Amino acid sequence: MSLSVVRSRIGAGLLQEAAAAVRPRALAIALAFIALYAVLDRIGAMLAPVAPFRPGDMAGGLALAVLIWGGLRYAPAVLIADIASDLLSPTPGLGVVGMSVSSLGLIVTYCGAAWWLRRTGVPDFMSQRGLARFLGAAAIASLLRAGFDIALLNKWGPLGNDASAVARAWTSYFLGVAVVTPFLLVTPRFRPPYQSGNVLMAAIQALVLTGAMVVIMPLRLSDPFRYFYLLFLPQIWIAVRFGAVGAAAGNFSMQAGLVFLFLSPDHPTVTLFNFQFRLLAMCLSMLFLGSAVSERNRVEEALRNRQEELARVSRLSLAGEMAAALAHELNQPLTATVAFVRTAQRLLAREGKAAPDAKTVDAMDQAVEQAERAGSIIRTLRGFIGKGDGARAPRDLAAVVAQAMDLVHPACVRAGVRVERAIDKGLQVQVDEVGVQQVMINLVQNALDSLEAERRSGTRAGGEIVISASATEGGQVEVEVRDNGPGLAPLAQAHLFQPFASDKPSGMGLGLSVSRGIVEAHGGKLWLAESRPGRCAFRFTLPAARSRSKRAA
Amino acid sequence: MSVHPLIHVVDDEAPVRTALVMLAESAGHHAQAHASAEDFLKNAGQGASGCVVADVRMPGMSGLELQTEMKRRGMELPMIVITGHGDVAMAVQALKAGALGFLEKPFDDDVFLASVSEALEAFDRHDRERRAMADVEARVDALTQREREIMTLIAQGLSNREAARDLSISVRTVENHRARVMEKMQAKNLSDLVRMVLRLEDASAH
Repeated sequence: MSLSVVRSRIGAGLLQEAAAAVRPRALAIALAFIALYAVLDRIGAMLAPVAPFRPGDMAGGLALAVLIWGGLRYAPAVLIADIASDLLSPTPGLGVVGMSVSSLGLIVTYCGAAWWLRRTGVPDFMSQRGLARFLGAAAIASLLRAGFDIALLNKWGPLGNDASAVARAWTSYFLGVAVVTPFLLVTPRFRPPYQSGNVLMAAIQALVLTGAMVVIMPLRLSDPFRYFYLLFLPQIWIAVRFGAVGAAAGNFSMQAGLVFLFLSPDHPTVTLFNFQFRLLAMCLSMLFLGSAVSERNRVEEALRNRQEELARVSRLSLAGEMAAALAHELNQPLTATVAFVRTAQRLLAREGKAAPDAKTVDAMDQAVEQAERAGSIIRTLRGFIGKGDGARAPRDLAAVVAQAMDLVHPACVRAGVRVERAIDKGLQVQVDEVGVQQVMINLVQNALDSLEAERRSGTRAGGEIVISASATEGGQVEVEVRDNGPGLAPLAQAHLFQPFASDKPSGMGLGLSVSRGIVEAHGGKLWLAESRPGRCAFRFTLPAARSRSKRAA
Repeated sequence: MSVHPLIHVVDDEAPVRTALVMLAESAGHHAQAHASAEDFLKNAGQGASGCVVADVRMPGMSGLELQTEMKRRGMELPMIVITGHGDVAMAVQALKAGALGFLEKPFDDDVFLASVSEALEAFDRHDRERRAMADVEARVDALTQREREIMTLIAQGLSNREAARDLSISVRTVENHRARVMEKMQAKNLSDLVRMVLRLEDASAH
């Protein structure tokens, strides 16, 4: 086998590998990107011939979006797109070499930003932190690129030593990125609730935004700033209503609209720059406002979901507890019935000299059989409803309690009750999280109710609830919920854990009964530890999770 | 001494405890009803005999708590726990704590009576053992110090000669003591004696 054959085989293999590396889908995206980039660049060139001073470098925003979304494998496409666009609409005086070096500057700075951002995934524009990270990276990348480009222009181009040139170029690049990149990255991931109300609202907002732009258009040459702040109104409206997605879309529409309005290069450059700078400030404000709204919505939704889940479980275990209570109430008479009938049968058999009448005995047998059938029906019913025993897993007790307290916090604030938590750090319990939260909520709610009743009667203000927990011997964790209310009436104490016994006008009397059921299902105990005026405490135990083995692992 | 073993029925509901007492009596047992665990502890006292049938969930002291309280007071009555809740967790807990049985309400008479009989037998067996033990202990008390030493050595399997060497006394003396030990302990033979000593050691180990 000759050496040349081997070499050509290796060459063919490498080619095949390269071809396989470029997937058809990625290739199509790259081509579409190049075309779109050229179009955007061309539009920019129509507004201002010198690349760094265009009103918002939208092509650059597109490039950064593609690099963040698809990774650095799209870097060649960006390079090709930029060089091709430069050839289509060349920057005067820079020459082919200068423009190519400028394209390299774009690649290095934007790829750097994209690489840094991608280490933690696509930035989350719906959180302040994610947005700040993105804008920080974008600002630095734009600044480096602007400095590089202005240095090039100074060397080869028509520019004098203009100190403000870097600032102007940076504004243009940063604005393009701030407007286009979030819009492209956020919109495709957005699954909007297509309710007619939302669609109608979006349409009205688009109309108002367009109207505001039309109003300021005739003033673009004489004084474009006088009514500039008109744009804030629809923008804020959109951001508040639709969050980060709305802000990104609003910014993009505004930029697109203004580009359309400015589509003639007959304006002074300085005016354009001033205008752009205001635009950038507005754009960033809207992004932050939008992400704050989104973040808040997200938190609210999570809270709502948890509340719903808790309500669902609460309903289920309420049903279970009712079934259990009913079962107990019915099983008692059934037990007595069976025992009485069997006793009668035995007495008949013992005292009667003659054998007892077969029919009588049979009737009694049937009575017992029916009573037992009733018992088994009750048993089936109870098994059917279940006890709501969720899966148990090791949990951090402090976190479980904190989540439960989130749900009763508003009620505590309303009642003016201070809640103090003294839970030892790192207490791990093996529990059904939702069940334990329900116990916590029940106990805190009871404490709250008694404090509230006392406050309403004017006896005292400034109630206090203290939640504490510590590990006890025998692998248990003991939790205490204490309040400084009036304590429980002796009568209430006697029937404390009985279902359907409540001393509250609106209570069903299942809270403590359900809670005890949950705690006992965990193999723990729930009891009234203390009750006197100024101090009422319930305690319960939970199984500790074996955290030691976890730490060793 | 001729007190009948009693079945103590502890349930907060009157019809249930009445019915169970009547059922037990119809089968020839002696039974007594108690309205609560506290009542039972007050009425029955330390020397109670028989067994306890108690509901798990009662206002006041629960069946499980009664179980621990009885253990604390040294009342060695076998316990059968009954419940209308069908709580598996509680059943396991009760059985772990030493309950003899667990019945789910409603139950038929044969189940109930079989459990009760078993409990009474268990009590009887324990009672007899306790009495035999008390007997043996009384006999040991009647031994002198030296006789006790010799009994211990012999039970360990030492011959008369070895025991004599151990205690530095004559073989003759050992033989005399040994005869008196057998007599006082009412042991038919050596293995009988060894069994008694082992049982005593067992009891003191517990």
